[in-house]
Amino acid sequence: MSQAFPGLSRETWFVHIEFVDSERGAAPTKQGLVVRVDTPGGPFPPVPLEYEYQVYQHVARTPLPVPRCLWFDACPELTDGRALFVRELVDGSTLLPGLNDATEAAAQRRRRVAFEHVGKLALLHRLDWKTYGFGAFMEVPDSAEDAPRRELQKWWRIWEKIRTSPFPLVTAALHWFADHLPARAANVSLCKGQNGIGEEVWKDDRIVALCDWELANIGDPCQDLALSQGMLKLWDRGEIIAHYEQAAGFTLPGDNIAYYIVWNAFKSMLSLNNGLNSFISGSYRSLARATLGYGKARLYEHLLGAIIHMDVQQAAEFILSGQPNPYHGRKVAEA
Amino acid sequence: MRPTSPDLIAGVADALEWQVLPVVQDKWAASTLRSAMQLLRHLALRVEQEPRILVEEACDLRGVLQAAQAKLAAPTRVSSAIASSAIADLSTRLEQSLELREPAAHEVAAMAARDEQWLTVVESLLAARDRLDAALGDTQLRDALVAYLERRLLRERELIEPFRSSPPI
Repeated sequence: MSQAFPGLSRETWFVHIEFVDSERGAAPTKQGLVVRVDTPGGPFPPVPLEYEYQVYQHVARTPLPVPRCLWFDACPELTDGRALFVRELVDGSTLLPGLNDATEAAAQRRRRVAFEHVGKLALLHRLDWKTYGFGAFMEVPDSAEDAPRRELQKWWRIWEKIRTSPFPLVTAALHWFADHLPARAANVSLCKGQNGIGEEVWKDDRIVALCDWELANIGDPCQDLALSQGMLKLWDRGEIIAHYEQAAGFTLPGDNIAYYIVWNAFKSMLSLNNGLNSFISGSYRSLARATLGYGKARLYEHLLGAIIHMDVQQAAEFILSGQPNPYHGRKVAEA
Repeated sequence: MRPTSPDLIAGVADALEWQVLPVVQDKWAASTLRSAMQLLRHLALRVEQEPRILVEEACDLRGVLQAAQAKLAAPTRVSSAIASSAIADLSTRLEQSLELREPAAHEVAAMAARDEQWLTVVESLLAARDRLDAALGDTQLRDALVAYLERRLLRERELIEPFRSSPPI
């Protein structure tokens, strides 16, 4: 058994089991499992683990590659009552070592990886989520016109519930989001939330499992492109988006992507600050909760404070310039 | 007193970074150590600057809230009874917040608590942005609030610099 590093929001454990049939004398069979467990301080994003489990279960019924979930336990004795779910381990890695090397081969590889990734996103975004039952447990916008506002209102309400102290500049930024809402979503799609390198399981530069579904929702697919953790920088952005659009069958308005790049800064701040609640209450004094939930959240507050006089494109560029992707510079995850 | 509090805190952070971190093998322990170092670097600035920042903040924010109170006392076009009631409620909150006890400059915790109460009022005013704009007939109040918040960010900017380095993970 081993634990994935760092697992600050939720713990991920890898369990390797060997089954021995001593009666038949057959060769032992092996199975790998992944156990996702809430930390004692709860997750950073204020989303119950059971929600993510439900998403996995539903995605498993679709043609999308996803690990098979085995069970969910809301209050297991093993973890002192911290919720967990168990899924099958998929052979592969969440990281792609050498991807950013300064060679022509690495450059071509970046193109392949980016196209593979947006190809899978297009498959996801074309999915008939109604038929697969996602609407039964997810909030569903009334229309493409309603989707951006629905997303804003939902997270604005959550923010007012979970923030650790007053953040008036964030309130001003939320009005900026209301003033700059996309007129309509590119499509009303099942969206993954967190995605890209560091989230999905890769093997031979192909995605063999889409993982981390806690922020999945029904809304504007531009959200996912905006939250693809640097994927749009791997190759010519226009070519990547054109590849996506060809696969998806609809176009992505540039302003929508820009809007959601900024929006993701707000959601990141919300999640980080939510993680600070357990530190403040004393229930989980992990120092990372303080550095991320207080320090990094304050940095995000400064970023959001700076955008309120900008237009959407300027704001997106500004956010991207101040928000490096941790997965590209150092090894922070493993599978 | 020598060494000063910032000197001592920075000394502890330096020792952790240069003497302890290189020999820590466990990834989670090293991660906790990096978090501790970041927090200590922040604290080294905060212990020195927080009292001054809170005093400047109180002076600035009191003026902003008093100006807001004067504005709200004479709204030009309140469209409905609900809007009128909401503005009256905001006025009351403003008035009450300005009556809070004035802590002495050395009472850092009390200054910080009052600052937070005042910020809550600023947040409420900004949350009611559209209603206030309509009632007051212009955006002067919200512009003044945002301008104040930008000054606030500048004041505390240096304090969060230590968190700008790579993630503590």
